[in-house]
Order: sequence, then C-alpha cells, then structure tokens
Amino acid sequence: MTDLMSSSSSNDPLLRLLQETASNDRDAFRLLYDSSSAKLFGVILRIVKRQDLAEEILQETYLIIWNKANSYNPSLGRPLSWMMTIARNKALDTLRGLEAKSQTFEYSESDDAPIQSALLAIIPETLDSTDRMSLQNCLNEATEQARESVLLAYIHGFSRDELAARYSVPVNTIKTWLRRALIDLKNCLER
Amino acid sequence: MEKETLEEIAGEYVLGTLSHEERRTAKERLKTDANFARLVHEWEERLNPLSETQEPVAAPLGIWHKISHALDDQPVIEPIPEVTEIDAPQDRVTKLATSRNRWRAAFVGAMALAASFIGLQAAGIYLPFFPKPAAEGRFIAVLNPSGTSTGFVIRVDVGTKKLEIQRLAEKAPQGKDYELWVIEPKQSPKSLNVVGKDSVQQVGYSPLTKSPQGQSPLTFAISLEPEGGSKTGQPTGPIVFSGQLITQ
Repeated sequence: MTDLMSSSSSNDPLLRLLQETASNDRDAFRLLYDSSSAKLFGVILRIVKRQDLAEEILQETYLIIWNKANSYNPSLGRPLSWMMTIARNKALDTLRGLEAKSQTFEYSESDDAPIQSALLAIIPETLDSTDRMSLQNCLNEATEQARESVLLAYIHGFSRDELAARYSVPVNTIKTWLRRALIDLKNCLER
Repeated sequence: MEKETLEEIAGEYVLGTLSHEERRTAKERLKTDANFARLVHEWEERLNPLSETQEPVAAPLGIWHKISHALDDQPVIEPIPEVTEIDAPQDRVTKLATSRNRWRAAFVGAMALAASFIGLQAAGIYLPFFPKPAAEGRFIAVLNPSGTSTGFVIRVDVGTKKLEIQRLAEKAPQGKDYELWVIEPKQSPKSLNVVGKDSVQQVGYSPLTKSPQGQSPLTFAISLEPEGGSKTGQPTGPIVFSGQLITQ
C-alpha cells in the first residue's frame, strides 16, 4: 500500500484501474476495491467507530466511486486521495447526521487509550513524501492542543462538542482553536 | 462573506468539525460557489496526507459481494465474454476478451477515418470513446457469447453522421420489433428508432453532440418491443442485445 500511496499519478496503478472502472470494467473495479478498500475502511472506521456503520459506508463509498469514476481527473488529486475524500465525506455526513439525531457516542475517558496511541503513531511516522513532511513539520510547530484537536477531528471524527468535553472548555473556544490552528497550518505550509 | 471566513469554513468542512446543519449548508455552497469549491479542494490537498498515514483495516469479506450485487441492480451494461476479431489492435481485443460479464450478444461499431475524427476535435466535440484517432481504415469486432448467434453490428461514421445497423440475428418474433437505443453515460436510453426488417439499415446519428466527462464509452442496446416500438420513449421490453462503441 505504501507503494501505491507514494507513487506519482502517472505510474499509479490505481489510476489505470480507476480509468478502466470509468469504462464500466467490473474486473478493474474489483481490483481497485482489493487495492484500496482496507485503506478506506480504516479511514471510515476511525471516524464512525462502529463496525456496522463503517461497513455500510464502505459499500456506499464504492458505489459512489463506481458512479463517479468517469468524472475523476488527476487535477482532483491522486486516485487514492480522491477515494479517501469520498470515504471521509460519507463517514462525516453519516456521523454528523447521527449526532443531529442524538444517536452519537459522546467522548469518554475510556476512548483515550487507542486515540493516544494513534496520535503517537502519526507523529513519528517515517515520512517519504514532501507533502507529508511539510504537514508533519507544520503540525509539530502548532501547540499541543491545536495539533491534537486537528488530528482528533480529522482522523477520529471528533466534533467540536466532543473536543470541548475532552479539553473542558466551551465549544466556542474549540471553534476558535480549530480555526486558528487551520490558518496557522495554512500559513506554515505556504512558507 | 469575507474571504478569510470562507477559508475557515472550507477548512472546518474538510477537517470534519462543522455541525450537521453547517455541513449541509457547505455542501449546497459547493455546488454553486466555485471559489468555495476551490478552497475546499485546497484544504483536502493540505490535509490528505493525514489520511494516508493511517493504518489500513481489512474490510470484511462479504462487503465486496454486497457492492457487486448492488451494481447488478444498476442499469449499467457490462463487458464481454468472447471476441471474434476481424481487424482490431490486439491490446483492445485482449482487454475485451478478458472481461467476462454478462453479455448476450454484442456489436462494436467501427469508427471513422482519422480525417473525420480530426474534424470533430477541431469543432470541439469530444469523443471519449475514441482515445486516439484510428490509424487508418475501419475496424470492427463482433462479439458474441459462446453458443449463441451474433446479434447486430453497428457502425458509426462521424463524418457522414450516419449509423449503420446490420442485423445478423433472426428477425424479431411476430408482433414484435427490435428497437435501437443509445445510452450516453449517466443518461436515460434514447431511441434511435425501430430496427426495420431489412438486414442493413441506416439512420442519421451524430454521436455525442455534447461533451460527457471522463472516458465512459457509449452504449447501444436493442430491446424487444411491441410492433411499432416502445410507446413510452423508454425501453419497455427486455434488452436482448447490447454493447459499447470502441475504435482503433
């Protein structure tokens, strides 16, 4: 999978599979699924934290990929990034929708152990791409709370309310943190 | 709304921390506000490396089958079991031959001389099913599943805007007519008229007067309709033959 992720667009095997999928080639689509589903499932599962939901979202995600494959072009990012964006959006739509109906799972202390290890896992990642290196450096420049908030939100689907509960601060404070963190990140990446 | 604020909303949209309602509003805005869409895309590019660093988690085995069954329910006509090559480049034929889904019979339209293709390109008409101009002459492949008779052969000539359909199958049963449909990507079938009793018939047809996105092929299908053709403007009988247009 690392090879798939680090390869450039022009020789990305997923690009060919995605293009063939756009031509309604089911065999190529199956290979595309085999090559990427674990990555997408990991992303989805971390956000919604429920196996049954994650499975449903994965199915929906690949149906979207099948139907949208012919609208993909490399300016939208590499194929895996494009597919992960679809997966994340679907997972976030579902999660925020459930929250709106109060069916979500509030933050609790017991959630922290796996999350902490996940945060640790991100920081020392061996970096093999310029983009990742830059993002890593800029995250490291941020305050610990800002960095954690961004990672918890992006990777684990934390809402502002959940972050507020975790850090025991008002929701508006979280909103301010997040926006400042994002703008700092942007400025750092553009330096 | 000030640029910075829009920037922040785009950032939080991608980060995932907008509320359900805010998220819905942002999604609506994405459809109509190109500047916002650009900001969102930029944030996706900035933050995507965070997704890529995540460990994969194997999806349960049954999920592919559910996806596959869901696709079976979609009105998509799929690839091909067997190829009789007349004169087509090997790589394309190989690709077709290795596809193995459910076709009952097929045609493949030959395409246009290079000169016609270039003319269309100059006119700004996009032919996604012709990734590059035919080198020279016409090519045709007739595809049919093992043990069945060949159905129809369709040739499209963009120069003359003519489609020629050649019936190789038996005539339609008494009281029924074959009707030819073209299905552009993501579009409903459009009738290209009832197929007459003659074995070869020409109809006026200008392929793709608009530019679909991507590389989806054009699909033709033949349904079996009551005599005189479908009364609804859409296929009402079974699709008995179908195939996709290729070139080279």
